[in-house]
Amino acid sequence: MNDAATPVGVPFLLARNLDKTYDLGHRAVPVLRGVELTLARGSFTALRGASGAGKSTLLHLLGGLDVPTAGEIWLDGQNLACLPGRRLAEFRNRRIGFVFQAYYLLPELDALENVCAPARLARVPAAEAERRGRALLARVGLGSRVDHRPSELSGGEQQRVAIARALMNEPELILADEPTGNLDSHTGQEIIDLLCTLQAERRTGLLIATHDSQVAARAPRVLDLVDGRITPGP
Amino acid sequence: MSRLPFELMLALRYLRPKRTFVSVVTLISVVGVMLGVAVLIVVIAVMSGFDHQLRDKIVGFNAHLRIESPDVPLTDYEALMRRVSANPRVKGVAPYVLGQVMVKTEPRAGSPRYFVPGVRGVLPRYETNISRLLDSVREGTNDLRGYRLLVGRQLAINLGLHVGDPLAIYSVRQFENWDSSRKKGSDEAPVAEDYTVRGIFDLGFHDFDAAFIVVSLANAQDLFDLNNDVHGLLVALRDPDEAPAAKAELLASLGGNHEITSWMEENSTILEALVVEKNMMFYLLFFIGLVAAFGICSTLIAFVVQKTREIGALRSLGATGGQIMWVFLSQSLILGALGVAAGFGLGLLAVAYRNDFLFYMRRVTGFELFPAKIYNFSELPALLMPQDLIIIGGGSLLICLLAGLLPAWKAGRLRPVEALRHE
Repeated sequence: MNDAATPVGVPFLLARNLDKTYDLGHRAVPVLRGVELTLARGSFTALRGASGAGKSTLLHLLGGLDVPTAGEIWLDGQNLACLPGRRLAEFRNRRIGFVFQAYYLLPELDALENVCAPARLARVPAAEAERRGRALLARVGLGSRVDHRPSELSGGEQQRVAIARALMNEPELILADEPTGNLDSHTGQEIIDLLCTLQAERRTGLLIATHDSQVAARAPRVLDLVDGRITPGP
Repeated sequence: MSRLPFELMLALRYLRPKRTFVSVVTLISVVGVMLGVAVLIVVIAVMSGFDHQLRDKIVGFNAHLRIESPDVPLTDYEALMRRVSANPRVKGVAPYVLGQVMVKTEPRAGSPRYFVPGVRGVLPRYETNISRLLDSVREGTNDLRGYRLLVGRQLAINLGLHVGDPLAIYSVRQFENWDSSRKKGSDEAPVAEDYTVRGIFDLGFHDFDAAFIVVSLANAQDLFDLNNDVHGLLVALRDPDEAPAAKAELLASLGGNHEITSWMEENSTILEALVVEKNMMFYLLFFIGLVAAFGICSTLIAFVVQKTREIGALRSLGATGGQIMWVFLSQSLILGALGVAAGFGLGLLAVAYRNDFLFYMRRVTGFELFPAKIYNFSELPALLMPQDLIIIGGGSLLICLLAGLLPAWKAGRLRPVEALRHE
């Protein structure tokens, strides 16, 4: 992992000419066509687009969950395409935090264990992980629900657990894919407030993909994803 | 929070019952492993017990080594006995005469019966050091003074003999004398020697109990015209398994004109048959475990499909393919360990209560599973050998681990995005 800070003039995250085409056997479906994107370290950006515009696909590519059909992604001076599988997993674990629309908490684990999962996967000692996990759960307002299973939590609470989990290994960038998509507008608002506060507090980069203009409006920088290409927002 | 490695903790959580079809099948496969292991333990323990008893009975009659002179009787056997006794591995030595005679019963009523048993001449003061023959007398005594003899239990039954009954013995020497005198024109008939049955022995081994009579060494020497010679020496060792080593040492110390046969060589056919039989049982019964392992394999495949999105979530959190693989591999290992542990419990219980179970079955069904007449034992023998238990436990665990390998490998190879999108 290249831990050196990005040289002056080179953005923290750089996506160049990204293409992603899904091969459905009988036909090819292009989703991203020549996406160009830069993000500064610790910045807060919204990626706005209609449903099916390819927001999730772009987030998956940026987070190293998928590989582009063409183009390059550089994070902190490191080309993701050059990372072998194991190093890529390590990269996701240490440097990226994911927040999904459907939370994706592990139903067999309680809130604390879910939050600690990224640290435990990184072989952080259990006691140290627990200390950090409890602090994070307290920070997202769930200090009293540490031993509750996801099934015993509301949608908003589950998303808070997922946010705490994303912050566990103190990543440099949080990729949030429609984080309010499954929530009512009030709870969604609370979640966005929480994400904004945490971003400002920790100077963690935040890229929120959303179809909701109100959510997008909270970010100082808004990018629109239209027809597989990025255009600066109005 | 659990201090276990994350993969193991998750695997354990996945095993908590959730009343789904997959957990029912999981339970069935664990029961399968349990039954496979239990049946293996019981069958192998009984076979080992049978093997052990048989070895005991063989050496109870024939000791561990037999020393002979090729083609001629042994002369000056007492000097030879002293030289053999000098070997530290040797526990006891005794001379013997062994040959065949013809016997004729002399019942008070009815016609006599004839048989050609083996006769063994023994010297009681040495014989007790090398075999259990004289200690196995169940009726009468083992007193061989004068014209007294012992017969095997089965032979006594076959010939209708009881303690105190007379028995006429015709030796080969008498037939030879008759033949030569007939050629000379004399019509002297062979005269039987009249013995009395003094005791009936039961070694528990059909081949010996149905085909041998025992007389004193002096009488046997007389029957076979040996004067003071014997047919050979029987040697008991401190450790029966040292027979090959003791044989080599004695061959070196006694010189080349002696032939030594170990009990293993003498009974190689039956001993090897038992080993082959036991190995076959091992292979056959491992198939029960194999079938159970297929059950584990199929439940894990179903489980991996069920958990695909969670696998995707774990990958997004930074889990490597190897870590995902370990989650499912440890699950199959835990299932296997549960099955093996339960199987050990059930198997050892069944071995401990095997005879109670047999008696119960006999009472309930009126049917004898192991007729004493055929198997020569009224209770089922059993011997638990540590190495057998290790093979059974280790082998079953290995099979379960291999069963988990395919689903675990598939889970580890799932591509993160496809797993997340799985419906």
